[in-house]
Amino acid sequence: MNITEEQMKILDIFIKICMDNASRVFSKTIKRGALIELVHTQMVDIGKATEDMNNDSREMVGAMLGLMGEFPGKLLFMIPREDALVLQDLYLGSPPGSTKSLDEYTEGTIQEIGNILGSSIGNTLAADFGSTILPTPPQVMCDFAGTIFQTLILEEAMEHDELILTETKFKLSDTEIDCNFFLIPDINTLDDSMYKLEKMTI
Amino acid sequence: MITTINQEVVTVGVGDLKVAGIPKILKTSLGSCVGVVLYDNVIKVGGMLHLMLPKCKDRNGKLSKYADTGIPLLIDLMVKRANANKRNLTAKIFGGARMFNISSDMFDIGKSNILETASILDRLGIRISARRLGGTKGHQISLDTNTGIVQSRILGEPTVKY
Repeated sequence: MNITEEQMKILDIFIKICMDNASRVFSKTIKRGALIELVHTQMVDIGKATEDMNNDSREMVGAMLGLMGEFPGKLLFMIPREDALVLQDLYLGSPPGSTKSLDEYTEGTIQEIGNILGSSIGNTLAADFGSTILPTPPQVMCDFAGTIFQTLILEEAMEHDELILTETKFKLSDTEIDCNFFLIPDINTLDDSMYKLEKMTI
Repeated sequence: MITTINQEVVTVGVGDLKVAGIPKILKTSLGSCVGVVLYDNVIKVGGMLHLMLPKCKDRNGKLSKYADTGIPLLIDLMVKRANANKRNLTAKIFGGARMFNISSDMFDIGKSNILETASILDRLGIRISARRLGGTKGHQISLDTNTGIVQSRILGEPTVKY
């Protein structure tokens, strides 16, 4: 798969717009300033991309969902277990420290946040680019960071040694929650998706 | 890849392999993938392969992603590049979890990875001295090249040394 510098720039701009919209929706939901910052979008070797994550010993909670339609791909929202409890309090408007242990409500919260992020990207495509994508229901996993991330990239990695990975960091005002949001465009249909994006941006 | 950099913990990525002498910790996290740890206890050299799929089947790409091409490659690296003796090598294997809620064994990648790994090691004459396989959760493993001990961790379960 060859992707030109120009195409990568277009992809980068498109993802930034999606992340800005997702930040706004997410801020409204948790009634607190939230910023999803794009770290990078780049073509990465699967081995290199997973080295740091395979060294992370923390228990994580992740919501994984697929994007179907004109810009197919996969999304993963991942957060350390301890931070998921803090996020649940924020999401439910409970006083800090109310959630003591990870249960089905925490998993539901993470699932819902996955939904919000997926829908935000879908809405951005529909509103700003006149195109449609549909997110699949999120699947929640509790495991090591590396294990969750491998599940996300397994299909892509079966056929390719490299993938396009968008990595973002969440910043929430007055909290130090450490969470990540990854977007992996489907590499098999990327040429087609890029052609559509290029046409939309003209 | 032979690790020569001065870094104590060396992490192995998905579909990758690394070989290291002392004093190093080789580490990875596994889901349905299988981790193959080879160790020569005479010269204290260890190797770790993180394989994703059982068979290469003429696919293009990295040989270390597959059991049937990755295991011979790891042995080759250890013998030719790190001067290990094949007769001294023993294997410890981990992972191969069923990460997806599926009823058919046909799509259980973890199980296929385990079966192919055991078969290849047997064919190549490498004894498996320890294993912790299957389940529905991920594994995190780390090899201490000084002792050959592998620590295996599964969330919610005690860490076990092999």
